[in-house]
Amino acid sequence: MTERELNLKAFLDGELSEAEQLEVTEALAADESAERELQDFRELQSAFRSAIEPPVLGMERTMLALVEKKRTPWWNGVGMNVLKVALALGVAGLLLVPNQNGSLFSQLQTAAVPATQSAVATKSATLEKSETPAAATANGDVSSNAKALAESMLQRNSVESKTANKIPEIQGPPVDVNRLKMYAAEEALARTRGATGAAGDMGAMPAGPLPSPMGGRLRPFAPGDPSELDASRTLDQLVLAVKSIAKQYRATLVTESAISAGKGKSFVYSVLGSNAIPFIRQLRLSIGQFGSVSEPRPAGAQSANPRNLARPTTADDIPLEDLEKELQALNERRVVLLTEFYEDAKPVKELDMQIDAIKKRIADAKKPKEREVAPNEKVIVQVSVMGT
Amino acid sequence: MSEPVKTAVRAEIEPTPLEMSGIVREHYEVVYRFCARRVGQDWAADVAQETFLTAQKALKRFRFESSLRSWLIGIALNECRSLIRKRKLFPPTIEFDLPDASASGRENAWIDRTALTKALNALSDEHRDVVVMHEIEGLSYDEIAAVIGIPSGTVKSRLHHAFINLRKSLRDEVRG
Repeated sequence: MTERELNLKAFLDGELSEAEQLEVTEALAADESAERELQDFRELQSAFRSAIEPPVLGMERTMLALVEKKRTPWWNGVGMNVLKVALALGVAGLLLVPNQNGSLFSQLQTAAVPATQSAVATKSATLEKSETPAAATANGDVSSNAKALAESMLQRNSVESKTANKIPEIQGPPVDVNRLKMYAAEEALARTRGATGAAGDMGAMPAGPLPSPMGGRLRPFAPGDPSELDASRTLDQLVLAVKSIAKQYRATLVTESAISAGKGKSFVYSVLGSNAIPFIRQLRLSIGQFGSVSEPRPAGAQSANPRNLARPTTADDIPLEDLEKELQALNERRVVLLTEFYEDAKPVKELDMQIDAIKKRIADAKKPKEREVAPNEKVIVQVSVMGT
Repeated sequence: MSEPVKTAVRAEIEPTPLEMSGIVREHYEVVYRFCARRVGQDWAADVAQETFLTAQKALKRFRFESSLRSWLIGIALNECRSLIRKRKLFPPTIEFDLPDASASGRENAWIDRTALTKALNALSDEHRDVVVMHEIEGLSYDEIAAVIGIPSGTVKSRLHHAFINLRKSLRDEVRG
């Protein structure tokens, strides 16, 4: 292969310098076979230009993937959440493990190991730091209880491992297990709030004054508090707890009645909208499985029973029945249309769109409507408790 | 090359979705067709998507030593090779909008659709690649050199040899 031959294709492609081009031009003028070869190359080149372009597909999909499939390191994405959940479950598990002799939790009162000795306690402290100052104040005793419990658990494990099967006698006053569960639930709630920040904390709660100086956070039960309950949960204690919480949240008792042949009591309270959600939350935390608390409903409303509600209407106040009739008419029209057109014909498609729109409106109308409660509006909350 | 991309690259930050969508709009067609000619239409969209996802991650390291188009095609080539290796794919046949010599009844027609396809398939992978990149996809010698990672002179030589072989195959076909 000569240099001239090598340059022939490049000459055709215009990839040569001026001097090289001149050289090839002169060679072509002198050599007929080279001229023929160049002509063949030219024809080949033009034949290649006729290559059929494949139709381009998937551009939109790629664009979506670029937005959605942004890969993040595992510790910034799901991995971190999994880690958080595992940690939360671990801590909750530690707190909720039932004790064989019921005396483990009494260590809450007596444990006094420095926090730095325990990795779990360190984590607990970290969780505490991540909260807002107000939250930290509010949960001060909760966190310290959790810390003490974690420490006592570690201490207990250590003692158990040293003394084989011997279960140590732990001195101290008995501690309410249910109360600890409440602490755990509150701690978890506080962590969730801490993670979502101040806006997330108060986002679901109407603005307005709160009766406790806790900045709106749930208040754990302090020893000696009348709302404090023991594990037996007598009806009297439950009633006392409910009344105490109602007093805190300035809820007015509307009615009080006995239920279940005197084994339970039902209360209807009227409370300000701004206090309703913390009030309900506190009640639910307090009475747990020993009762139920209804969702707030406006004080004017007669009943929350769906049977007593008016027939649902759509957003533009068209009765649902009318819409259903319209849907039926459209469906009948579609059947007629299909005798003339195929399913993918334009008139059928347009009709299908109308049918879909009406179906959506009907579905929306059937959904239970959530009514927002104004902060200064009175709402009704019904509480029922059952005890021994 | 769009200006926002350059800004993003200079700042060594990842391109925003908006910047990436600009790049996709500008180069998707080229990348897709490049992939379609190597892995076939069934896989082309997937490989093109992977190409742009890889590009999104690597764009902040792109130094403009080559054009963005050849950089993207280089990524696409690697993705295609990887898929071909994994799935044991064969390159699809390139169709030409040419009349068949027998059908047209042309006496002097030495290049027809069937013969050209056959001659192109008969080339070695190296030669076929440069021919397709230059003649069909319109890449310059320098761009091909950047994509494949060979000197520009080698591209020139491969192209010339590929054309000699094609010409020979087609002439032999005509002679029967």
